[in-house]
Amino acid sequence: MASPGILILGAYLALMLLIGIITSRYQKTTDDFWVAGRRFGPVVLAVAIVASIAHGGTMLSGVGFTALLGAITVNNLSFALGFLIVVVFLARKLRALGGYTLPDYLGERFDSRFLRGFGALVVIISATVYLIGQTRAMGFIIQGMTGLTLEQSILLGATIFILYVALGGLLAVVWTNIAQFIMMYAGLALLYITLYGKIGGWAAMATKVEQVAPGWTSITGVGWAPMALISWYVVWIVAYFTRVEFVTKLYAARDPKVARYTIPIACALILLFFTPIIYFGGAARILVWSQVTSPDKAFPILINSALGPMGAAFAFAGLAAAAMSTTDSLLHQSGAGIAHDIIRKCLFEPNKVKKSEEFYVRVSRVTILGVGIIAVIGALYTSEIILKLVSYAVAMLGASFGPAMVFGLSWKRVSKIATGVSVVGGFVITAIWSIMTIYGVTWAKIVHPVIPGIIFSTIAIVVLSLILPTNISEKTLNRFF
Amino acid sequence: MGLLGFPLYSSLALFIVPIVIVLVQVWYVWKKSGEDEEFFREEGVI
Repeated sequence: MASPGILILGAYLALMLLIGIITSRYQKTTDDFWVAGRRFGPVVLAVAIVASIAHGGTMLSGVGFTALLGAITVNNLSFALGFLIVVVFLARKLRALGGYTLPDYLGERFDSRFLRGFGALVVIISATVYLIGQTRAMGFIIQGMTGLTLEQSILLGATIFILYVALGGLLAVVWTNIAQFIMMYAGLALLYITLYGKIGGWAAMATKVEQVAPGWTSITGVGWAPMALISWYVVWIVAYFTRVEFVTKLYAARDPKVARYTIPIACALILLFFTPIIYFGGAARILVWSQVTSPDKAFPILINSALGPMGAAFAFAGLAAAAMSTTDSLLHQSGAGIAHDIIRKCLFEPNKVKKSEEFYVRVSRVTILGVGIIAVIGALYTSEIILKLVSYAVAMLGASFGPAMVFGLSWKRVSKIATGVSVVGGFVITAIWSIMTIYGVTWAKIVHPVIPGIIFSTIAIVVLSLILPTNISEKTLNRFF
Repeated sequence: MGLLGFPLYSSLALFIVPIVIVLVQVWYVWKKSGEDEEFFREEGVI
């Protein structure tokens, strides 16, 4: 007889594939494929944004590092501030632009094919590296549920998400995200109710965890250095308003007002997702910490110790859903970077190569399949360096694009050359600093790579824009101001 | 004096300030909704 894990996972994967097949019928144009015809309202969009942000790694490492380092590890504050930046500076104008990808914004706002092409390369590299890491994490979760080997687990999960993204584009991503969101929150609710019965409420958890780990509830947690804590919060503020899948979902809003309405709803849902992680971290520290050999194992051990086989299978399915909800969005974005930004906007259209919408939908699907296969190969045979780079992939995006997005949408005087120096310099500095950190250069480890990267890209865009002419046509500026 | 058994500064960072920022977002969206409608009708976006 099949185990509860196999049964629940099988039903979940079948549902995802069904959504892919149904949504494939609606893919007639690239507008359908990349932004689902821009038909979403605020609640659907908010749920899809939360599902793609809250990935399996967030839950595994979130609970593990909260247990290890203290409640302050949870970054509610960073999310709230990052989303505030999106509400004030980005949401309305990005949606009004009506693009498909983040490089679309760079190309259109700064009249620059170079910025579009470079932006697309950064997105493709960082999203693919991140996708490889997330595909591997998904494989570990499926392995834990089913008893399959890691290789079989990666192949099973990846085949499903590659198929439904290639078939249904963003429409499939959003509807599977909604199903994944329901599974994630149901799994969290089940675990929370069970642990509440064992430990008691928040105050009881706080009292008990302080007895086993003094300082756990304090503002510096257990062993955080102030600079490391500040770096952590800066990383997540910057990382979350420059997430590529986030930008695309804003483009898919029904209109610019909907894009703006979506953000507070998404932010409130994110806080509802992250706040229980504080409780689970405390619970792991109280109940199972002696069995935990590495922080990433804390959450699975907590689930297995608190829930029976069926309940644990249900909670692990929520974790698998969280992992897949991010991998599908990243695959969609890597594909868009190649098919839309590089092939269509940088190669075909500037050279007057005319192709039909059906052709571009076919190219999009083939690209998704190609990137998906690369991600699977990467996840199966990845080197240690790739896995280490994953944790810096969002930092590279943030340092590269953050100032170009905030200043570009709020300051008319921003210069094209200044933006180029900011985007390229932010990426290069963060990438080099990340590699030095990985290879153990002592002085590089003092701050997170995003800090030097974002300082450079901010100073470059501000100072050079004050000195240099904008070099952007009035017609383009009038679209944004 | 904090919240849910947590000290004051942790309560502020983990619970109170994030909720206040969400409320600020709601207020900002509400405040701008009239301006948005006018702007986008002029631009023909909606």
